[in-house]
Amino acid sequence: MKTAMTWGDAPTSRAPGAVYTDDALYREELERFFYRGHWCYVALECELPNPGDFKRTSVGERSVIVVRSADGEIHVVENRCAHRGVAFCRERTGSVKSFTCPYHQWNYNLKGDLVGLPFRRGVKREGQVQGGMPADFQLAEHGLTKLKVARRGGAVFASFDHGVESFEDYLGPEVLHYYDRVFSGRPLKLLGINRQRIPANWKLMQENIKDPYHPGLLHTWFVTFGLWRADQKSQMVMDARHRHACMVSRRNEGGAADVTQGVTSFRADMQLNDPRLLDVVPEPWWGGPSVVMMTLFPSLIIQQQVNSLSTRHIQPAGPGLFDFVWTHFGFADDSDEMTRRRLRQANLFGPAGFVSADDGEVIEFVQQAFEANPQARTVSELDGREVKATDHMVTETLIRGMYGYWREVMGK
Amino acid sequence: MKLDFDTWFQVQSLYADYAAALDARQLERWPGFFTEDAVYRLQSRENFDRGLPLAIMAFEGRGMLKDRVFGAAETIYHDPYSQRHVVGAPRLLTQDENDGWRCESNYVVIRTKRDAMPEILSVGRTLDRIVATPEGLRFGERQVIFDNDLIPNSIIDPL
Repeated sequence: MKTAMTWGDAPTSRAPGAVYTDDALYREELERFFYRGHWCYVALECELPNPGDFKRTSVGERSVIVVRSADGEIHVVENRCAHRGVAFCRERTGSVKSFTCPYHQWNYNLKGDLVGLPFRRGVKREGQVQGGMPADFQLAEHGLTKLKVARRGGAVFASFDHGVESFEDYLGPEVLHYYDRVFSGRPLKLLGINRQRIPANWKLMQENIKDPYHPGLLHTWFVTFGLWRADQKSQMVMDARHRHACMVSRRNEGGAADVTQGVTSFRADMQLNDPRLLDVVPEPWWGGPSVVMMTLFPSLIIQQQVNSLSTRHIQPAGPGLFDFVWTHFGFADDSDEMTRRRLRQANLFGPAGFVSADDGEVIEFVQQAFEANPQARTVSELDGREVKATDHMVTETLIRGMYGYWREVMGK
Repeated sequence: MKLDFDTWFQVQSLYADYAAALDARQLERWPGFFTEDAVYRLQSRENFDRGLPLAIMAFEGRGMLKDRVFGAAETIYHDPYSQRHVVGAPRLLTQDENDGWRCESNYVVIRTKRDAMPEILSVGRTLDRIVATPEGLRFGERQVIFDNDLIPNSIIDPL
């Protein structure tokens, strides 16, 4: 069913429900955002420390393998045999010398080049050669699909589009500044992976982390303990095209204040039985902010919330479903005490997190309502209808910025 | 140290009472099944098998367990649901006077939301260390390792 796309006289602030529910629009988004002209997150380098180490992941809906070759380079290839299309890599991680498709044993090296295949020259029988590939068959023309790779500061991004701009230009200087703050090249340590499947459109998660309005309202912990709330010094930063964003803030002492008046999630009486859950120790590399939440369009959120660090990878699976994969990390030179602190604070995040289980829940309910009525529209007009960087968090400007960019690329 | 029938019956009762309390959503009873300094971890099989420390819940001591109870009951907004544990008979792995009894059990937890059919929320096993206290048997350690690394949206109550 074709649904109406009406933005009316609100060019970016009143998204029509079809942007969350329409299958044809979603297919177009995959092409225009995930497969063309954009960089998508695939891995942290510390997941592949040694030659031969690989990780299977996704770019959009397409399965890809990230692998380190003998020379230390990282390659990203599509998980699809060039012969008959088998998604041959089934393990999530491992270490291999080469890739072999089980169906007809086509064999590829770690760069994705086709090295050999059985019966290429046919089978000799009674002096006759039977079968074999045509004489003009070229191995070089039948490698795995190779993606362009960008590595910066310990994280790896890939693009099916070899004409894509440089990763640095893609982020732009304002966002790159905050990216480099986390991924400075200081070696990382992998702490683990958490995965959740959320029945909602992938953009709703981007919006959630471009929305500084909700944390001090939906999340009791944020407002009560001063982790994120509207009376804090903060900046909302975007790249020139408004697709990426950073929400930057400084923690305050929490407790009751003007800003907690009438906020039903605020709990003046709330004390932790065990304060180690929120044993925050400022780190020199923060350079001021205690929280920076970055959205890199279309596929990634980079979280620094006090001592907890993660990448959150958005893997869409249809207009109303995505997998959300959290990779928690620290630094290789962290003390054992700091590692324990990061792991304790990890209780705040992920599919059971004190301040993020409810994000997955609310966006599921958004999806349900728009699927029932795709003619309905959102109203993201806190702090006006225009798009601009701000020095406060009482704003929905980042969401408007994202839809401005979305409309530019989609032409809708 | 011998595991007599009476003790084995108490082990069985600990498992059954634990599941019954959670399924009845008597969350305030949950920390009482543990020793004061107990460790509780709810972790994916993926992280467990790879030796990665990250869990989705990781608590040390009854204080943190109480903080989770408050969070689940009072602060985390979520779709209301009920859960049902189906727990297999525990399998004794080791017993030692100082260490206590180490047991493993299989489980399935089914989640039922108000307007939906039941679904499997979690399936896996527990790795437990049970100790005798003056108040009866308690978990000194409970690791819940779930096979379904991919969680259907969120988990609010402990398993």
